[in-house]
Amino acid sequence: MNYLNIINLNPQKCEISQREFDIFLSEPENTKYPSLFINPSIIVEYHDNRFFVIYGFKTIEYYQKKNITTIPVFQINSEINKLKKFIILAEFHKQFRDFYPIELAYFVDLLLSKKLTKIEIWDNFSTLLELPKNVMPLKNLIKIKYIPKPLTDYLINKNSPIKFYSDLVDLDVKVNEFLISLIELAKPSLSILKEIVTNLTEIGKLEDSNCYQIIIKLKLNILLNSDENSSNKLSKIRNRLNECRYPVITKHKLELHKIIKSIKIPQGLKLVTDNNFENRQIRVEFLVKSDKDIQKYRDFFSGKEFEKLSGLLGKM
Amino acid sequence: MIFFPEKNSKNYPDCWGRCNSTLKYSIKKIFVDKIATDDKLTKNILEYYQDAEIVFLPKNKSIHDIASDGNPKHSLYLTHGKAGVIKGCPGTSTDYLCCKYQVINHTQNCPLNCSYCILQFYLNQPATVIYTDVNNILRDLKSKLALQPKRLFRIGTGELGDSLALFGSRLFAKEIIEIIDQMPNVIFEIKSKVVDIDDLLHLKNKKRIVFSWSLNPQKVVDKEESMASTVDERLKAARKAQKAGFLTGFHFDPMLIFPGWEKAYPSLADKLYSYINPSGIAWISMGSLRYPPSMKEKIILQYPDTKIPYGEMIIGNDGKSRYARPVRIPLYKSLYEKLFAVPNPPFIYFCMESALVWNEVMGFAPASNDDLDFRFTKSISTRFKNLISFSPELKNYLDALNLDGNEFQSG
Repeated sequence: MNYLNIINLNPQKCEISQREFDIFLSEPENTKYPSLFINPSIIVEYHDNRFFVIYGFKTIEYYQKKNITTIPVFQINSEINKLKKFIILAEFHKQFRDFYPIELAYFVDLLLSKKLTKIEIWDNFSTLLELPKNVMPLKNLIKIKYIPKPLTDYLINKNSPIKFYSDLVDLDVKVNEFLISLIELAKPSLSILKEIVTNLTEIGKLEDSNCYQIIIKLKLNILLNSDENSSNKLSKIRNRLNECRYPVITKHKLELHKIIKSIKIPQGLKLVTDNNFENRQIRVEFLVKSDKDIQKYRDFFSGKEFEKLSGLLGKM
Repeated sequence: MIFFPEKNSKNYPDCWGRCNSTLKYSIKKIFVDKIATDDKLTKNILEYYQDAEIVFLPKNKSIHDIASDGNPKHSLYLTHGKAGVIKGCPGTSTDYLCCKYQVINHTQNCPLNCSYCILQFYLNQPATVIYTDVNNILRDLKSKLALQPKRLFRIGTGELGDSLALFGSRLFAKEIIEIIDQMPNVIFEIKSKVVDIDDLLHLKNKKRIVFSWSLNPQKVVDKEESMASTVDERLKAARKAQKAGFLTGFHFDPMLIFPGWEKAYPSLADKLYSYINPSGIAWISMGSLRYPPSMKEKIILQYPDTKIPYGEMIIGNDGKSRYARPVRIPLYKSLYEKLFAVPNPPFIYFCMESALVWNEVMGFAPASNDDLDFRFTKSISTRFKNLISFSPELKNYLDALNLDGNEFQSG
């Protein structure tokens, strides 16, 4: 059985008012010379004496606006079952590019609305669509639909993994608004945004509180709207969150930092401690460029300042 | 052909029907390997779980073919152990001291539902495995123990499963107790979070059997160990075991940070000593929460209400997430100072901790894993006279091999 047959069709005759299949943010850009296409980028299905678009809405709208009279399209065989139809749709899109997480959300929602069971979905689409079976239930996947557009635009732009989308699905409107402002005003990288969201969420869980209450309690919104430059804002917000999320570690780090600052370390020499505190050790790094440097370090190692390392070790 | 023992027959287990009924009915399906069909343990297990569906594995089919999507907490797989049923505890890394405990992985997985438990994410069998070739395992154990007659081995079945939560595990424990007098250089530990021990208490051989329980404040048990016995139940059972003449052991592991831990752990130590005479406790371990970093997401997904993954964790030298040392030290001290403040205190040790932590909390650290292993024996021989028939000598512990013939290997 052929699943797809190429036919020529007048775009004006294509029905696009039913948009349930219109779930893709972008379609293949081959709209310039439609008559030259070897592989059409539109799929239609025929029923009730009409051609309904199931893939290529934006493309066909373009042709309709341009008043192009004939284009090649794929007509899907009307005898195939709904499961096969969706597999074809997914495979067809995948030949152009992978699904964005938000498209996956719309697609899975569509499958469920067409009464496909969860088992059918996992069995037929988990490999094809790389559904994150072990980390995200379908109900969470679908919630990605509701992440506000400025956030999804950012995530798509940063090529965020789907896991991070799922970290955002349960945040309330005010937290989303804060994150959108954060992106605009503090310009975090994806990994820093993730760190901020993780800390907010985890503090919220630890304190049985909502993330927005944490934002208010830590005055992150005030920091964000301060006159500082974006880099300072970001750094202060991260520090405040880290202090709250890791109070013992932060206090310990500050104590060590205070001791290190009290030691008069010659220029060019660096004390490196274990950030995880698992090892009580100090690595001393120094760069020698001249005899003067050698003398400088010799003075340091034989002097009282070096002995302060013992105090530092004791505090570790 | 399946043989069901008659009541009152010699095959009919003494502890018949007295296991925790919730756990009994949690087993819905039992897969039986062809090779295990005629084993006594298989027959007893099938008789015990009469309401469970029984599936005999067809020839050339593995458990993975038959039960790929099974829930291991609700199904059993009865089979024979291949190599590696008896082995040394894998430890974790040379940076953390390991006591060279030996394990019999007779039961692999657990019907309990503890949120922090690594087994549920670590074991990949679709059913809880129980090895039914008991005689083979015991024969193997005896011959391996005989190779190092001057070394005392601590060995247990509670590493990859609970020693008592499943009927088959209990029967295996009973088998070992019955023949322990044939193995003079072993202490066998029955480690559990359930308390159905009455049927084991009357057994004749009590020497060198340690009944041990994991302990955590009741608040933690309520939230994180939903199917396990309460702290009071565990301590009552331990008291019964002690009165019956058995040694006891306790494992404060994993110790957790939660609001009020500062008082909860010292109180728990007080409670322990109010139930149990410390002089009859063979050992007490302490360890704090640790897990592979990839487990965090799985815990969150499976136990959305738990706060366990949100501690002040770092990645330790073994690559596992654990509380940062400045968090662990006060946690341990709060408990250790209470546990140690009695005359003739039990042997208290850390499970997988660095020498740094030993020193900070206890004021000393074993020089090596071998030294720690030796210190155990020394403590046992000093505190419990006539328990072992030979004097411990350090030389028998230095570079000593595990029962599987391998050297200690860090994970």
